[in-house]
Amino acid sequence: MRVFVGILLCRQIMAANGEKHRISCAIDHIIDAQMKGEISEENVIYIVENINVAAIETTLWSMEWAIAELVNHPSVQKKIRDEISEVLKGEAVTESNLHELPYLQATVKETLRLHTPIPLLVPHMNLEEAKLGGYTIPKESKVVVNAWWLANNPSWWKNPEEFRPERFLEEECATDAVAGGKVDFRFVPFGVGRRSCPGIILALPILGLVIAKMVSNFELSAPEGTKIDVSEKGGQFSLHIANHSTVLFHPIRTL
Amino acid sequence: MKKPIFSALVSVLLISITKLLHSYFSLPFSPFSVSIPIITTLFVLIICKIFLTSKTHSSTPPGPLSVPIFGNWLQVGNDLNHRLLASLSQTYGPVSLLKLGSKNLVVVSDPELATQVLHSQGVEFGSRPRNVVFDIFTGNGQDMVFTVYGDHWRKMRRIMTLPFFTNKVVHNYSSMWEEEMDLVVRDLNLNERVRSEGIVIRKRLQLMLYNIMYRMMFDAKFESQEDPLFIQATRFNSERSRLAQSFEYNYGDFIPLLRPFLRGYLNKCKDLQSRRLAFFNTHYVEKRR
Repeated sequence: MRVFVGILLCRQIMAANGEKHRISCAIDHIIDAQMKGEISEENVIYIVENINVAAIETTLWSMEWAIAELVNHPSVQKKIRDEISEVLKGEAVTESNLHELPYLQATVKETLRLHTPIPLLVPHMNLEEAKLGGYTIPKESKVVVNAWWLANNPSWWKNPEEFRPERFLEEECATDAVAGGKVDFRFVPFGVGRRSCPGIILALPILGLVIAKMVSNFELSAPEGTKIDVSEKGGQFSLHIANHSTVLFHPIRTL
Repeated sequence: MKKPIFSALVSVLLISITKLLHSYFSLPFSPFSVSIPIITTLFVLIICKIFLTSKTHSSTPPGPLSVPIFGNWLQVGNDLNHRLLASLSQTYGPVSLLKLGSKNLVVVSDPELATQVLHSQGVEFGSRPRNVVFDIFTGNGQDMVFTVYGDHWRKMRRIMTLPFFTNKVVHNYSSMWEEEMDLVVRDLNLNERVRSEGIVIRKRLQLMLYNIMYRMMFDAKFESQEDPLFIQATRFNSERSRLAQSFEYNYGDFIPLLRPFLRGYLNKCKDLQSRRLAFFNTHYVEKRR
């Protein structure tokens, strides 16, 4: 207890002096919130738990899906490579120039559409009885939005089973990956609104950058002219590739 | 008592007993592996149809006929994946209701209604259900993702947003992300094998993502895929995912009567969770206090 008070005092003094130098990573902010009495020690550890699962694992599933589809679609790899060299003219892909690469972004979106990592989103619940579409929803129902079906229903999408990033530059050019603002509710891989995934702001650039780095440095292929098996394995609310794929990386000799 | 109602109740009781006995001797079981004579099933379904349609259920969303205690679980089983639920919407329309034992599952399969749930009625539908396993892995909702909608959630979301989810964070950390990605490119260039036999790329990307997030979170990183802390962290997290994402515990979550059969599974979850949280605390959180 005395140690705790000591740390608390130390932090308060630091805060009073405006010495922010000890706050250098996210957990420092979180611990600070605990010291101020806003959240409990348990809340701190459960924040760490949420990041380990919600941020790391889901993004990894998406990367695996993206790479599997890139291997199976060499023409998509080539288009990404061509776009990068035409637009950036030898400059490296960075977070700040991702917006200049629409085909790369379309590839990220197409991956999230066809292989939505959380296909039913995280389930919702109504604490009180509610109305939906003219029906009564009994209180404390588990309400799931089938985001995967919204993005793969053949009556709303052209050949939805096909991996074709071009759709987001052609017939779907107005459909963006967003969790608020102007939303096309057929495409909501991160959910929308209050409980939407806040990680969208990290996941989209990280996915774009990884794909760009892989494809601009290597030609990706499957062993011996095979195709990568894109069978899926679903869980309570996850959708990952059933078999982790083996990929060949052939370095591209550039200038 | 009316004759059909009586027979229905007797049959349901019979099924319950058969199921309980079955689950006792062969766990985990799937409802499809239970061999109840088809005739009995049909009989029960016909009787239940008479029994249930006499009541007025018109105001709740449409869905398959349900029987007492089990609801629709005997028809749909444990594996409630996105494809199964999509095919359900082909039959019952944009919003449907499944009774899963004691719980209601509402499935929304239409953009208009999705807008309602996520946006227009976002407050009304803003809470999260947790099952028996997620109760354990979230400490009964002490986290952000699975907590009920309200002040606690609002505070958690605000506190997490500042150090993780702002444009400033992206701006400050994106060169570090690129650095970690360039290390992957370097490793692939140095490894002859990736050109001949290929590699399971997931493993290297996993190290990269852990390093990206652990550097943002704790200012810490792992040396390599062989780093003992990396091995422990990934083992804890993948075991947690396996136990939480599995459909195999659904029966005990849906049907309180069957919950005693889940005791072993839940103890495994509790044990893992306490060791896992202690690992995060000792190796990472305490070092920053």
